[in-house]
Amino acid sequence: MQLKQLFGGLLLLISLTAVAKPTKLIIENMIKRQSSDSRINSVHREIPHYSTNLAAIKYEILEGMITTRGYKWVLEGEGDGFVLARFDYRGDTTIIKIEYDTALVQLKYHDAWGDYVCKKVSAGICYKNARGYYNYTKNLRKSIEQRLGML
Amino acid sequence: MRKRLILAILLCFSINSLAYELDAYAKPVPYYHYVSDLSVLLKKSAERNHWDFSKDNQGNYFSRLLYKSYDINTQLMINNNTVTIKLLSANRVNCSRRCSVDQDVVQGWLLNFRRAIAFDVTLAVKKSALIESLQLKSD
Repeated sequence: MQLKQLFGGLLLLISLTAVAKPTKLIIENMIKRQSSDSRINSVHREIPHYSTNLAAIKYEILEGMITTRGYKWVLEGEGDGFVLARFDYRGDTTIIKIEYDTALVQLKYHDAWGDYVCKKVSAGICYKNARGYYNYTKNLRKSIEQRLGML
Repeated sequence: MRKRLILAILLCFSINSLAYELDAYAKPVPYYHYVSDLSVLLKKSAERNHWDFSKDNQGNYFSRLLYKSYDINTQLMINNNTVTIKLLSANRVNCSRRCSVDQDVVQGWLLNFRRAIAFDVTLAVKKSALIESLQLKSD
């Protein structure tokens, strides 16, 4: 029994570690009538950068969050290699997990309330959601991409 | 009749779209080890959003909003390096008509207050990341 629990825990740890890294986006055909590829790309496509200084990358991500066009994103939490960014607007809340390493930065769906709850998520990629989710989160990605370009 | 029915349905949708998730403001804001003087941060966040900030003898933090005939009182709970807004009361004062408390209005202002605190925490974390990145550069 203990061996089973240990094995289960190990598997969970491995899966969490695997998920918590930014990777090249490959769009799958998850469901019928999923959001368009261009929308999914506009939010979840990886952002390459040329810095090995993780603290500097984190700084630029945070700067990108609070200078996003239209509406600021604020910190909701952080961990090893990621920060959580939160967006509250007109009763809807979106929380995005921004993963980073020495090569890539990637935005992944983490949680939401109201209209922007993702209808289909796979490995942090939201395949079906309201137009607003893609529009607002696209601005965040763009802002972070601009900041990372300065590194 | 048909027009009225369509209008009623549209009205229902528009009200629903503005409804706040109940107690979305009450989720704790983590500040980790980044904030050295929490009292200063909370005072700054509160005053920027027109809330009065106070601290009692036991070290408890409180904030009060008197705005548009609303009187909202909250306590800012500190636990495990997080701040949580706890609503103590929400009343209408000095109003002549329509004196009911609109919960959506209260929730909206509380959420804005939470956002103001989270914004200042973001600035503190950003400052810490900048210092760390400069240290890494100089090494």
